[in-house]
Amino acid sequence: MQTILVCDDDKQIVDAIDIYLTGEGFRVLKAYDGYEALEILEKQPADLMIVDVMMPGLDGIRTTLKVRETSSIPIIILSAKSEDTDKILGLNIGADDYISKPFNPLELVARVKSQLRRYTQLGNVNQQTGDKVYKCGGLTINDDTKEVWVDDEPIRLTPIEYNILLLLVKNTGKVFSIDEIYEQIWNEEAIGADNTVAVHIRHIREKIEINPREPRYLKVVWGVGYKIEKQ
Amino acid sequence: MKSIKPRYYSLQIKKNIAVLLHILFLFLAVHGISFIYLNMGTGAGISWLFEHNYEDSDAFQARFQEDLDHIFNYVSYRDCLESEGVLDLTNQMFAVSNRDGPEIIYTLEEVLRYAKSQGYYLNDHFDVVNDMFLYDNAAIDRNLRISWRAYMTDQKLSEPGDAYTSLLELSKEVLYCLSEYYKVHYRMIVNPSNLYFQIVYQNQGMDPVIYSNCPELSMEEMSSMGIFCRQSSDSIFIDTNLKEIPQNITMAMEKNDFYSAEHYYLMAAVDTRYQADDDYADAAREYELLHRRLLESAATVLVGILGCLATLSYLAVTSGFRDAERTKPNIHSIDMIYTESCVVLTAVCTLFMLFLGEKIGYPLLHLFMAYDSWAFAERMLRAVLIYGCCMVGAFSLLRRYKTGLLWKGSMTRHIRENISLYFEDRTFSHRLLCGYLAFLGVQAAGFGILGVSLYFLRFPAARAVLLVGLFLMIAADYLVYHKLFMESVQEDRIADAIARIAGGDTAYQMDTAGLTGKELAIARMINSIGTGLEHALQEQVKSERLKADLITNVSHDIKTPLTSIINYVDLIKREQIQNPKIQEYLTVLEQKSQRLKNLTEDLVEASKVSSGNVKLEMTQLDLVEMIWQTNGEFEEKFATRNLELVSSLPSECMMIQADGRHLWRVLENLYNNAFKYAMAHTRVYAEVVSEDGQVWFTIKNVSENPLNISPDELTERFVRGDVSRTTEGSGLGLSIAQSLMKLQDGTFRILIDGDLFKVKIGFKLVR
Repeated sequence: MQTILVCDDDKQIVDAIDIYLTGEGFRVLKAYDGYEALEILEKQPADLMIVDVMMPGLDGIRTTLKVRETSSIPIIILSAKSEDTDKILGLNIGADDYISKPFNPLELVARVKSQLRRYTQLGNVNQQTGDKVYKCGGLTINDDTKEVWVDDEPIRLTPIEYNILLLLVKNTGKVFSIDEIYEQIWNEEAIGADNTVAVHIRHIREKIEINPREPRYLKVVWGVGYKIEKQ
Repeated sequence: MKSIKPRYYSLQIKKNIAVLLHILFLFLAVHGISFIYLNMGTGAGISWLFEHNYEDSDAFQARFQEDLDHIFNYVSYRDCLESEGVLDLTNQMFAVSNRDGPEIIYTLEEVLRYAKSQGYYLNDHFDVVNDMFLYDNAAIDRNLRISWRAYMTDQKLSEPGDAYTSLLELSKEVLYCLSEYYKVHYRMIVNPSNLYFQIVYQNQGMDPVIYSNCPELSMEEMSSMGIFCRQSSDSIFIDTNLKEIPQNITMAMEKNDFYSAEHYYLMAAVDTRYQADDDYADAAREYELLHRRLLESAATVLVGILGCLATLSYLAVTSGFRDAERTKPNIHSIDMIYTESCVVLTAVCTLFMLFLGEKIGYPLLHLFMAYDSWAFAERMLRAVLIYGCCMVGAFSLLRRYKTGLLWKGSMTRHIRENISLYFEDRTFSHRLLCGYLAFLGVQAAGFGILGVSLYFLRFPAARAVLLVGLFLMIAADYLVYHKLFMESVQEDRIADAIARIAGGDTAYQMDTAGLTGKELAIARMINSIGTGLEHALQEQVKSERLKADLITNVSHDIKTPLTSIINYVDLIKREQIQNPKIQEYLTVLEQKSQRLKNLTEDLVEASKVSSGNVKLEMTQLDLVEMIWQTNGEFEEKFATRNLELVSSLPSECMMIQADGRHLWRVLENLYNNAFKYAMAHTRVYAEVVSEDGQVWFTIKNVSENPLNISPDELTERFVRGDVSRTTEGSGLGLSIAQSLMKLQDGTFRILIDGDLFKVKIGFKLVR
């Protein structure tokens, strides 16, 4: 059983998270400020920590910094601040993920699971060896079996969606425009592109992303094209 | 107080003493200068300072030369006047004949008697005088022919009738000879003299002929007396210790050599001990006295000038203040008038004093001074009067300078202030009028002068006036032009500053250096306007930011409880309560809490965007590609409301400069807007066109509700197409979109045509 430390000064939020995570089979440790969280971590190890930013005493940012001095467990920051700068700050000081309040409980659970899988499987990345297996963070594509996993969850894609994803994963970090994707997948020249590709991309994103509005893998470069972010 | 008062008095007393001392020293200097000037005779410089003895002086030289001449005359005449060493009145003087008559010989006695009968005789100084009035010699017959003259042996009369003269003339000649003889005889031979002389003519085997007042003295004795002069026939060298060699010695020696002597010599010496009481002794005593007095006067002049300078500098240092600490200014009534008036007054006073000096001082001087020195004394008086008056004026100026009144109390300053009063505190029109009138006046005066001088052009003075007048007029005109030009330059600067502030640079402060008068006042006003504007603007920006901060903070505070609401609503839902009513209530709760979430997020964004508190990352992107991407995101969503998305996009790229994420937010809001408010089962049109370097994206839809509000109102925050506010949405979408477009330098327009709702956004086409 994996242990998750939840730290927020709002008791009801901690309780709610406790209910969701316990329901998913996790053991939950509760803390209501940064110092308490650090004390608990000293006594018993946790596999993941969810921490609020704005707390009395030691805030989430400094707690994260303290934890990072001794431990490499996944840390998810939970905050009412939703601006980009806050997210960037959180991720830069060592947090692995960032969820802004108010959050969807299901999303939170999905992200917790994702982080835990990546953390525990860090040692055996290339389980399935072979040229035809492509990995990108939690995303795995086996071109032999035409199977796709996200955080070990099998995903079902249509052939076109699969081909588009494969093209982007093979060229991680490269931005493909709609025309380029069209020409590569349909093997014909794009005469006056339409939104077919964009619709497919949207479908893929809905399938592989926890929150399609804030994609982790398949990102939109507005006005330029699409890409798979290097993890 | 007790300690201050005596000091105050003592300084005043010191000053008064200094003034008195100054006058005293001045008097000393004047006195010394006058004495030197009057007693020395000009032209010799100040070499007398270095002459210590009478023998070195020119006066001694002249006297010695004169005496030598007298001695030679004595030598010439002695033998014909004396016999046996004494004057013999029976000696024959000359012989004359009257026409063919017999030769008559006159003795000395007869000659003297005749001369006396004609009024000529020798006085007690052995000078020839005449106390009888006679007509001119022309009235006397010159009918006597001279046969010979004992006193003029060298005169050769070759032909009879060579020389005719009168008895009187001859008598006078004899009288002069006698005068010369007596002068030497009496002064040097009979009476003791400081001048010793020996003139000796000697032939071999004969007794030497000696002319001397000291035949017993040897050469060496005479040489050691002091000043000596020696000439011998053996040598052409004149041995003397005189400053200058006496003239005519050799010639006179030769002339008086009646004996054709083989050997002769002259020895003359002056006993510088001046034992004998004669002219030399008197002159030497007088010289000594005068020399001493001159040295004393020189010292007096020196002391006087130094004293004058010392007291003057003391007064200059201490003047202007009543006490040594220089705190109390010492101002006399003369210092209260204008500086220029003081200068003029000084000049007038000087002239008046000179006038008084001429009328009163000169006669007084004439009373006390010798006629010779009148001119000098008058000059001195003038100098002293001018000096005194100028000093009074100069000290007044000095006091003004020290107390700062020199400029403050000057008429120029008052006039300048009055003139600037004319120009500074008046309106532009008034100033222009003054300037123009001044210009006209100068022109009129100038042309008048020029005309008059042209009329009198034949006079050189008129030509000079014409030239000067022309020059002055050009100068004055240029001055007026320069003044106007400088003012125009200042006005240009002001206009420039106004243009800059009007152009939005409210922080601009114009440089007031070089501005004058009214322009300076205007510039200051402009600067204060700029400052005020800038201040107001800063205030507005600040309050806007404060508002944004407030909204952000409030939103954060709302979000935390909202999290709990959403979570617990979800938890209740999971309890699977089989009551349909509760299911319904839960749905409402879920929807409204979601709405609340959207509202707070939009609110934060709207406030941030409208206050400009957003970071922009401008890149080049293809608007066409972007619209395709957006279409892809929304097509299925539109389908849920049976909306058909009709796109009309060009096939080529339309590159623009924008922030992709913010532009996506704009498009998202526009598409969401269409999704929410478009009538179901209608088409939504999206098109991109480029014209004149601009790229336009337009989205059009038919509104479900009547649009009875203006486009401007729609972009106001919290205004929505449905006034009843029943639908979802925060009412901030269009406002956020508009603000974001503004931030990205794009154009945002809403057009309403009946129920047709149209939004147009434009960007500059990069290529």
